[in-house]
Amino acid sequence: MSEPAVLIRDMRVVFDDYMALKDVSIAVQPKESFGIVGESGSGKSTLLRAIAGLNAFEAGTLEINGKTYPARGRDKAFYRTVQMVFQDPYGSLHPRQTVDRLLLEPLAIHGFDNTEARIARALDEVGLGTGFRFRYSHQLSGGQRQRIAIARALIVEPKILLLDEPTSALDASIQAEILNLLEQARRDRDLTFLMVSHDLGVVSHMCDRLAVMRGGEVVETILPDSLVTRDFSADYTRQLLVASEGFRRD
Amino acid sequence: MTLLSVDNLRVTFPTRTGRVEAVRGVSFTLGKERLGIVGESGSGKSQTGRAIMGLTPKQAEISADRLEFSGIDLLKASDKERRALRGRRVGMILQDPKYSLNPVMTIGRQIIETLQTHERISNREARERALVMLEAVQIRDPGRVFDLYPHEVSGGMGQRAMIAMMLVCGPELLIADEPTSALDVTVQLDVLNILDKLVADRGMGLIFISHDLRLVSSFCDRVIVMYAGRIVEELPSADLKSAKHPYTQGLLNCLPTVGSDRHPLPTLERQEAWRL
Repeated sequence: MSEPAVLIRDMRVVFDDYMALKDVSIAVQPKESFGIVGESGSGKSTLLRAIAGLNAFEAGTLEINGKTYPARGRDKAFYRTVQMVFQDPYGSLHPRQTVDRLLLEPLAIHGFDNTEARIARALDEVGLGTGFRFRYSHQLSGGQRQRIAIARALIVEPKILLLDEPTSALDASIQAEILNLLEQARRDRDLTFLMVSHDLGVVSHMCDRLAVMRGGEVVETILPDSLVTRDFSADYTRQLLVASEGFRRD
Repeated sequence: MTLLSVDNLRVTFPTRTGRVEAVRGVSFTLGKERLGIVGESGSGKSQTGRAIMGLTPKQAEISADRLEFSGIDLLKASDKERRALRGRRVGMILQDPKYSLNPVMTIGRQIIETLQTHERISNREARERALVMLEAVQIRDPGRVFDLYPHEVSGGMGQRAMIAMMLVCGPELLIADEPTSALDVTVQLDVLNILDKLVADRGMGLIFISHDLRLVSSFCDRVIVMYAGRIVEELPSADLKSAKHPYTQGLLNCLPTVGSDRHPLPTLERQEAWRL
């Protein structure tokens, strides 16, 4: 097997007295789409944020493509490889910057040339045409904002994309469009996905493997197919599966 | 028996760039049944609920050929009459307990406030009834939760408290606007179960507003599908599979589910003709 794109061993994150991640280990292969399901407080977002360097970890190791990263602080090269898309498209774009400015910033930071063409291409790739280039984020709908957030992540040509509930703030019909867009981008660019969601349907649709998290621990790691064949062991996974099937009157 | 009749309801907002018609001629009647209203953001589903409740912002214009709740003309009713209805005979549950509960008032106090606004009862009796109500929404330790502030409880617990607050006066009509969208999936089912039992036991009319067509259809007897301020289709939940309108079919098909392998997912091709 090749070297994992993301390798986490015994990662522990502590906030004051609260242990948010209890020695979690996962390995994501290059070009794999790996999903993490869990409810609020399960530690799934904390795990992504610890990888991205948005919060420090107390113990354990993090390797990206074989390179070890410390508990806090990430270099510029890291963000060339790893980019993140957040849940709330209303909170994750600068309210006083135009789309053009939002997309220019990562290019400037990483010293890209030919910015004009890159911005136009990025907008095109997320299905938004150049007509959106000089709008502010408040002039966009939720789905359009999420497309901009994806464009901003993809514009530095990363290899790994961390997706933190990218569609849970969107309508069901817009969700389908964004999921299709992400799948297309992954195919075109051979990306590795690490995707977090509370929706088992979304994760099983998008991912090759998925980990179920609860209370800061990985309960089990399974294939999406085993949800259909009921080939899993944890009772919590069954609860999530029942919940994803919707309301039933008994 | 008709509890609520809505005929040609329109809600219009004047804006700097012209008039925006959020609701454009919605008509339906409701008895003691569970009615679902489904649509995307901006389809006018929430504004329909708010117009019935009398919570439309002041600057908006409401018009209807008929807007009647158990014989009361809601369009002609004074503010005072509407206040007497709200909370007492018509209740509304909102999406997010974090923002819809008063943050500086304990949960118990808020339930009592509803009761004492509408009924002349002693503090002690009000407290008793609030505790009974908290128990009815399956809060295990009502005495403790009674004295907690909204920030001290979880989302699921907050939503139960809001249901308790809305049902304590025994309304005849309950409007639930995305009551579970802010909750975790497993908690969603608990809250829906509680809501379902209370609605059935007390014989209320229910309007369930959501963007999740499948959830709504599993919960309601009848579903109204809205697009761009209009009703595009109305059908019994059982017949959802035979929905005719492409928009309804699109809403049904676009959700990824466990075990279905559809890449890419079908998306909605919105057509101008649906707006008409």
